[in-house]
Amino acid sequence: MMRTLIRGFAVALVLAGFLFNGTVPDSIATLLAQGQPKQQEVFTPIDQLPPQEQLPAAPLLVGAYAFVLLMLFGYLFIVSRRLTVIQQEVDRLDRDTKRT
Amino acid sequence: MPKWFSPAVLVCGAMFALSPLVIANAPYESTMGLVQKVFYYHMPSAWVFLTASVVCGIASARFLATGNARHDRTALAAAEMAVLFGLLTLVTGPLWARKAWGQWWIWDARITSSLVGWMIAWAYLILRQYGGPGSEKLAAGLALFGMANVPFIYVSVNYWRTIHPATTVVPKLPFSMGFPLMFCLASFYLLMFLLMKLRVRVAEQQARLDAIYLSLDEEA
Amino acid sequence: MLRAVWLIVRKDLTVEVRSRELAYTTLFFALSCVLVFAFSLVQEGRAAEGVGAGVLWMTIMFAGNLALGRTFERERQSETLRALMLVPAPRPAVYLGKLAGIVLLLALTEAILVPLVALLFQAELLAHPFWLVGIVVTGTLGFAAVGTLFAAMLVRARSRDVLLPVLLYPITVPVIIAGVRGTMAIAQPDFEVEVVRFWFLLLVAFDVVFITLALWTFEPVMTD
Repeated sequence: MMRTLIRGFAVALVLAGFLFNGTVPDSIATLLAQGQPKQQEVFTPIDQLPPQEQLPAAPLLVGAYAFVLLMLFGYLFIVSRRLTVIQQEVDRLDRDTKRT
Repeated sequence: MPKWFSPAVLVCGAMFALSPLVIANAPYESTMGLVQKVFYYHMPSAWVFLTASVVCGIASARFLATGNARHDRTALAAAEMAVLFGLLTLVTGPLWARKAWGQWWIWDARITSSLVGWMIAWAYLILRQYGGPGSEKLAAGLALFGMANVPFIYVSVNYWRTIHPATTVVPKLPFSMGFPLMFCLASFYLLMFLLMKLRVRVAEQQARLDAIYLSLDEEA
Repeated sequence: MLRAVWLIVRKDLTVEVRSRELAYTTLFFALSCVLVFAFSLVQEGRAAEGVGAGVLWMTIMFAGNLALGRTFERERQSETLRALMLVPAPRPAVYLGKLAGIVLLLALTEAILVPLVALLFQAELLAHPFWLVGIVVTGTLGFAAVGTLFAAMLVRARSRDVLLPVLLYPITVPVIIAGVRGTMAIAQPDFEVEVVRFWFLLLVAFDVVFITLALWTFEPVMTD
């Protein structure tokens, strides 16, 4: 079992190496090229930055909002579910103890 | 759950659903452009994070002083709020900063202090979860230490960045407490209140469950 | 109360002098840390500017964490902590006794560590010895004050080994900031006494506040 697992993993690694060798997706390449802005010690407002350093705002904005709503709804969902489970358990035990 | 809970949840949900509309109609900020709109979720998250931390600290102090489990449950719920909203703040901030200032993260005083405060809240939850029996009091002690630490963290991080505090890398944000911001603040605080109520309820029922099981064990 | 504190310290010292386990292991661990940092940070035979101060305080915090864990592990194994709590002395005396023991142990380690780091990382740490002692002592005291309370709190908890650093490091952030900055200011060629004094006073304030807080909360958190 272990040996097949290790073998499978090795094959996957080799395949990945071939696949990604020089075929880095375009968008990632451009992002990396824009990538490391020089360390700013002084705040420069966005419209004074050279145009090639300006990133599209929309994905960041959408990403931020999506993250917030996802986390909040996720938490709400998890806690509500836990409450129903516990509530059912408590009600069940209450019924049982009242019966006896 | 009390009668007003479900209607309140609906109201809160409606407010959040409306918020993108409200925010879209807010005045367009000239120096930062579109990405500045993140601010309307980022700042309320930060405020709720700070409020939740204070609530946790006060509840912990009351729990240590009185031993009443109700305060302990409040502290636990508040700590979860702090971690949740702190995470939202720490993620939306860099997403905004990347566009507005060109860097994901800068070690300025406010950001770094928030990170440390968030880690203390997270440490509280780790202690509650993995500390075994009796960890409620230990966690309360930690929360107290965390609260006492706030001025020290702020001063030391502030002067860590620059010994002459007149200069800061990031200028203070000029914002107008206009309607969109108030609306979002209200939505976030309402949500925090409702989530805390829910979470405290879960803790109460859990305690009741434990008590029932304990009494059943004793009978058997 | 002071007599109780002294008795506790003496107990720990007696145990330690016989085995010397804590002293040697803490010292060795500190040296290992310095070695690891040296390999990470020294480039082309020289360390970057100001690295010595950082290495010193990182080592103090890691070695201190280990020493705290070991000290209370020893108490847990012999169940002496429970015995100590039953002693008819004020509870805070137990805390102060353990604190004194830890500070002594760390002071011993630092006496060797500071000159060593100054040497290995070409940092002029010993330029102003009084200020250096001030910063190191107050910083160690602050770290140990919080650490002793947390370690005592966690003695009966599960996962105590990993929980101690989880709790300790975020709370002692001001200590490491002040310690490193104060030490760096001492090692600088253009020495500004105002800067060092600021960090020193911050550490003093931290010590006062947190030792007081620890004395208040020791009893509630240690009793069921």
